[in-house]
Amino acid sequence: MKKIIYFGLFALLATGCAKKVEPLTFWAMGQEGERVGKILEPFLAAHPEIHLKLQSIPWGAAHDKLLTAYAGRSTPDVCQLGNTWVSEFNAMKALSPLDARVKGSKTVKEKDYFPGIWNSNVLDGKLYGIPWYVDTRALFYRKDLFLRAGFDHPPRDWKELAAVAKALTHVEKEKKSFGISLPANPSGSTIPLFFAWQNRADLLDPSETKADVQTASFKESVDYYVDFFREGSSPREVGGLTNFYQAFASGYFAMFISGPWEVKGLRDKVPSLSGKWGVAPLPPKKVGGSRASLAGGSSLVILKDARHPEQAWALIEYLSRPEVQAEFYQATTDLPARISAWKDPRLAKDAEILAFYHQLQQSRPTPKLPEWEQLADKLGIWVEKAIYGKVSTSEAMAGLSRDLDQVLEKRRWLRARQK
Amino acid sequence: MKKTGKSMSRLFSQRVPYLFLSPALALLFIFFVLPVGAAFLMSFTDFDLYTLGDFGSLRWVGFNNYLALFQNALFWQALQNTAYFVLLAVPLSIAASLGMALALDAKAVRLKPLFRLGFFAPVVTTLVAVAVVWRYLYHPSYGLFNWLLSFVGIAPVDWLGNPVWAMPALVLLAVWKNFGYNMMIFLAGLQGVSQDLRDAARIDGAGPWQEFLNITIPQLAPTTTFVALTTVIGYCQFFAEPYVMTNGGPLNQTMSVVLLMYREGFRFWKMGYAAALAFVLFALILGISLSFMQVRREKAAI
Repeated sequence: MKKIIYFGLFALLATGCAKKVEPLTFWAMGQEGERVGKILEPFLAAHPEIHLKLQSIPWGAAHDKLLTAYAGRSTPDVCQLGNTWVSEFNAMKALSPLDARVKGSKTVKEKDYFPGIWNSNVLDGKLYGIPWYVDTRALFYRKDLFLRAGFDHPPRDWKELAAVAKALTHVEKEKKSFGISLPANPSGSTIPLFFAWQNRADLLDPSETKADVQTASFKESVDYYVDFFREGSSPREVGGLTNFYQAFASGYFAMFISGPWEVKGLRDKVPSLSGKWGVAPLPPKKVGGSRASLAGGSSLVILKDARHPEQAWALIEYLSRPEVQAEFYQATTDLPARISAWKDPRLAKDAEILAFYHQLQQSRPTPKLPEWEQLADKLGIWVEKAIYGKVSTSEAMAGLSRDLDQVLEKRRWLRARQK
Repeated sequence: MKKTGKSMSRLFSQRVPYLFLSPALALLFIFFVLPVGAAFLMSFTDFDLYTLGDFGSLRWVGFNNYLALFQNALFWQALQNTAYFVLLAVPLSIAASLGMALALDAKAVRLKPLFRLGFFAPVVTTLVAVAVVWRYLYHPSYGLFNWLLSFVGIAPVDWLGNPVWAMPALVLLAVWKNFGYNMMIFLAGLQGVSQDLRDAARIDGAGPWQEFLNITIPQLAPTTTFVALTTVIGYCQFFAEPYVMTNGGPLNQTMSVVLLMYREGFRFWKMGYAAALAFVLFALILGISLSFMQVRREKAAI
């Protein structure tokens, strides 16, 4: 009998406790999820009332898992969200607006953020995410191979990029090598869009409900991309890239376009290559022109169903402090979203990282539509068809235009209904 | 009084079985009939991302999802790819299973448990882990397959990046991964072949090949039907291999119907469209299975 009473008391206590410590849930992805716990230790020490439950999700599964969590109403309080996903989750009305919180905040100041990145979180005039870290795509190149072929600087315009890619391609020799490695499969679909942006073309018309890819300048940009494959300057294979860093180190290809995480990857995986490679902003079409690239990275958002919105905001404010951002860079090599954090010598004195700072000044977000993933997929599919020579560029753009319009049908209907 | 008692008891005796069945029926209803019914209704709507946020944006679209599906070139390509996979992988898979089962059944073979274990191991291994290894095997410059081909003077092939070779590469992986399971079923089937028949055949002067054709094959017919049917159904739902190895590429040459469904449903969240796709696939598999049974029945009648 006594035992039962004790047990009952214990159970009561346990449930009582469970109610009190309902945790603040925070989902973060990939290496951010693995490393942010350490960064948050001082914050948690200063806020004993917050019981943090941090969950790390692999990037590959993150998008699908978040969608499923929202459909099942089991979202976290605060979450890391890829910039391009913000509009998608906002369309589902999953996010809570942050304008009032920023207005009253002493830490988060809009002026201290890269405009292209901040802008990717603003939808219909409301702010839904605070940029956490940023990324953009720039050109990685082998300085030594460039010098050997007679180039002492990174490409200055489109023409030079194509010329150097061709000059560094050797197919006749025993050992094949390519000037550049660009993705041929749909997952790399956004790079052709950068070229289009640099050429003052865009995927959609200003209303963002219709495709606009059949213009001369859009076609020219896609052609420029596909020509790297037609000329043989870029390999088409997918399998060859399972060992990406090794392939770059062995000279299998001399250039690639990618994000800042590759800097750490190259330094860690192929240290012997140190000094032989560099990073440069993407070359414009003509000297002095736009060097537009993707404004990517992740934002921190508060979910609409959050049980602890105040605690969630405190966490976001802490992670947004310039000194914490610099420390987070040290832990992850994720580039700080706050411009003042770049004064830290660990960033300001790093030539390869600084190239991304310059690229960030000219980066812009992808169309902020919930259908973005589908649009990107369609672009990739049609560009791939052109790369493999199944269709001409004009045919590809006609097909793409039709597909994009089909994806945007619901958006047009919703727009018409609003009116 | 007596009469009502009798009918009561009859009713009771009829009810008891249902009472015992009810937990299973309830589970079946909640977890199968209900979701399938909901999915069927959903396939006539445009349930999507916007609907998650605002249920008012849900539209009843009738057969539009089905029509859009039949007009989608990618769907036809996925169907073609799946058919190609099934036609190539099913015979290969059954031949490999039967061949290995016969080899293991032979009296001369030693260390049978070891081989059985070895051949069955791929079946119980996670495909994701297997895929990591096979990606290296198929690597254009460091892969084992290309290294072996180099001895006979064949230039390296980019297996997974080449639109022509990507599907055969996946077929090989799937056959290797799955043959062990059917091999076990064939092994069991072989135990059931009566020794009397074999002895009789030998007395009549049949050689091993004739014995195989006239005794083993006909005796294994029920086993083969079962194996063929389950393999066809399983391979029609071909998904994990392209998902982890090629993601449907290159040029959508390895895009299967189920992978397309997954992408439309869980990546783009076009649930109505994906549900329509699911029912089309269901109808196809049902049709194939029924015609399979029909052929079998006709054969049996002869």
